Amino acid sequence: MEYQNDSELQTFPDREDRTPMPPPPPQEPPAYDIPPLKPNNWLWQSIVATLLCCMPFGIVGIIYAAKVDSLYFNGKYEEAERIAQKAKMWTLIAVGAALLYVIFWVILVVTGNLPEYMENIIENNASGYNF
Amino acid sequence: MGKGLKIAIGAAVSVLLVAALYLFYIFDPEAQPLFPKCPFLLVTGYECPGCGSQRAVHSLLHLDIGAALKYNAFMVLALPYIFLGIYLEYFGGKKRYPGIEKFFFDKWSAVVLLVVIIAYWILRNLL
Repeated sequence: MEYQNDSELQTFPDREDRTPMPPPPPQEPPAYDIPPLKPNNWLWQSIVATLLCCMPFGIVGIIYAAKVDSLYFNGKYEEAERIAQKAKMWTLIAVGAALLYVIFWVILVVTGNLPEYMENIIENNASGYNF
Repeated sequence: MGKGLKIAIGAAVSVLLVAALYLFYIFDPEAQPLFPKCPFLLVTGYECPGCGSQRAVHSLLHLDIGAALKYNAFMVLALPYIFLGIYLEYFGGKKRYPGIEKFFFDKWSAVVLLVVIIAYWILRNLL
């Protein structure tokens, strides 16, 4: 019994191969039976960027993050991927700008070139001027 | 990206983060001129949503949550959210809890966060 069952299973793919192949269907855009993975929307990273000082760039990142998800769940996967790249770009711009600003600031303070008006503002408002 | 490169980047980021936290622990950003001041505040005289974060981090490292909330309440309340994001993205949380990922990091959470940030920005300058 068992042997017969086995041999039947083994010959099955052969039989399938012998049937003539149907002509290939005309080329269409991929229909996405299985949707691709949702692109990273960079939401929490843009919040960090907003808090890191470069608030305008961080807010652009948050706006793109909202778009990524709504596009993805409407099935516009390529578009979502493209907007996700923009969210990433703006978040990285924000972090980069923050790092440049910190380096610039430290150089000014260490070399004693901090503009006088800035020092005055800081002294007059000792508690309010750290970000 | 190779696995080795990923580990190297992770290690570099961790070292920088620990170094930064150490600086924020030993120095008080309120008293030290070395800590950069917010450009938005210097130019306009109004506080941005991130103003006070450095002093809040310093206070948090000294376990003074009340002072941290006073310096930048939004930043203190956003920290758990940021840690959740880091866990979901880098420590396998996305696969384990896809529902949490979808709830906290979808379109509506972005809209809500945007509204909260702008509301906090306006209110902190009015009150």
